[in-house]
Amino acid sequence: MPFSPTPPAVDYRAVAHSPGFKTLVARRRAFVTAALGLAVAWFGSFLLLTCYAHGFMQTVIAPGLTVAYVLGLSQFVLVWCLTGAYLRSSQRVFDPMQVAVEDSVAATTAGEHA
Amino acid sequence: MNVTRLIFFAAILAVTVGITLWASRRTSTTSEFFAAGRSVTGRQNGLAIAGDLMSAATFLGFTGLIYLAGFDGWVLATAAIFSFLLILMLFAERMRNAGQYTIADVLSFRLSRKPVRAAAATTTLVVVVFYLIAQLVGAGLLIRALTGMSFAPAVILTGVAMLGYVVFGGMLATTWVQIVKAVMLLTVGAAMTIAILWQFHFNVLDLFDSAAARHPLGEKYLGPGGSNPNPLNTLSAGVAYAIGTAALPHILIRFFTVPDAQAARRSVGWAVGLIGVFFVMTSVIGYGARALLPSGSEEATAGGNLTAPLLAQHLGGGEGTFGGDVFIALVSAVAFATILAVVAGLLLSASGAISHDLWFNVFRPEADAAEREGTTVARISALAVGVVAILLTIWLGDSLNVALLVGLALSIAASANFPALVLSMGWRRFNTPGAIVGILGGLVASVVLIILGPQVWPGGEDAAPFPLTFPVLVSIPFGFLCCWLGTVLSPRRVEDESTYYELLVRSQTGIGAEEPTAH
Repeated sequence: MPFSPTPPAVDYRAVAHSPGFKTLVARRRAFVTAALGLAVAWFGSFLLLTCYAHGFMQTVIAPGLTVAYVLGLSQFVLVWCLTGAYLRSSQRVFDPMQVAVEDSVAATTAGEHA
Repeated sequence: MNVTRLIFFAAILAVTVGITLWASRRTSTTSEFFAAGRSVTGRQNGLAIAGDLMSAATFLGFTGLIYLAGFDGWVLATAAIFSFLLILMLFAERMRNAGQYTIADVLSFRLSRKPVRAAAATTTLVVVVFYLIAQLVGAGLLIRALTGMSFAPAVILTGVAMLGYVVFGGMLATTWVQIVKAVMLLTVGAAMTIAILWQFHFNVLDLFDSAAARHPLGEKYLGPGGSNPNPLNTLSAGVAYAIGTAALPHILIRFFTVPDAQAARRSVGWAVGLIGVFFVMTSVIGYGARALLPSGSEEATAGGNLTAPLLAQHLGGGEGTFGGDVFIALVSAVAFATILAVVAGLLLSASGAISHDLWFNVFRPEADAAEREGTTVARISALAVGVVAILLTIWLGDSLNVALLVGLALSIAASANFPALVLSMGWRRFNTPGAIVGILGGLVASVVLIILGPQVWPGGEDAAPFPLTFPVLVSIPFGFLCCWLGTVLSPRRVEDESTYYELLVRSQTGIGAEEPTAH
């Protein structure tokens, strides 16, 4: 059980200002901003078209297939792709950076207690 | 009374009681009761989250809406799937890293604990009770229509089962009932989808075309505008589902049940995949019902809610045949299981708000460790909320619109919870008065506008002072505005900003997060 009754105090302000942590936060924030920006724009346009552009959305591309259904389906595809991309980046980029921050914190607190 | 259906319903109850008995022996500490000992894997949690979203409102409600009004019924499904990006990228890992049992943990983390916790617990209770009543009404209507049992006993039966799972089995039973149901519902949905497509030689477009040919709207049935004459109402419903889903307490507390943030993240991956497939299947089932059910079946679907069971009966061979009987009984029993599993999760999150937030952190902060470790208060809270919800449901009766109540719960969650959750994690200056004013402002604005709106105000659409059913277009910006005003108009406090760093580091890296217990 990895639980210690009195965990050593962490200087959160110092960690927050360390270069490793700042890069982690900045990179994650850049990814999330871009991904959510794209998703909000795509879903927002779809929702507005659904509400206000009935004629366009009812356009029949092939018998049985409307623009509305294609754009609706594209929402699912976009969510799947962005979710996959986030999980991949987390594993390959953010997790290793996070481990590095944790290691440097562990090294500092261990140093104080030695 | 229909014997086949009763056997299927009884089988579902037997399975869930078995799960509860198994879980009750593994549930004795608070962490086990509220968070299943943080032992749920990412995949299991993903299935459980998917199960929470595949509720009666989506399985029965969306297929019914598509059958009746076409594409408009499916827009809400796209909004709900979108909300999972918000959950994944803003909340999932941070909830696990910063919280313990409730979303109030995260909100009150860096702010003055008591008042923020009390405000957050209040909105959780309001949202959950709305949602709970919606699901219980749905259960009563469904069981009445399918077995002939009357409304009140059906609600009591569902309520007692829900209380059993939560009071005895805690989060572990709630999670496994949800997982078993999610697998059953996905299987049944896939079976129906394949059976429908079979009849159209697996040509989806042929199916859609036949559906449009049989609807009075013709080709317009495959585009938007079939249900709602006011585009602002469609817009506000879409926004309520897109943002409200991401702020639902019973979904967010599932991230406390996994061992770490990585598992929390992976569980969203599983949930997004499964829910997406399920929602795409609802479009095939809804349009399939239009293409295959005999003309004039609208009356029999009882406002659309029985579309899926009736279609199952038709696919199995029709009324009176053995195949038809078995298939409608199966689909109905799975719909029943859906409601049981969803109400259990709701009740558990309400129990957390009362015992963990209000009792131990606001009214009795001096309680000792032994008292906190016990689950007596949590179990009593669940019992109390459950009984109140059952009585309210029976008192309000069977005329409530299920989809409407769910939409209102989503509106309140989006207006009261969402702004404060986002700002507490992203804005250093955000402080205690800002959170309290924001949470209560969003809550009051959404509830008042719902009362002034066309669904509650006497006289309906023409007389209502506020034109929209779902108030989110006004109340979400109002919630953010209240958070901002409360913050900038109050004096700066150094403590609020120094705990910001603790929350930032903890939520981004997991340093200091709740450890998983050994099993």
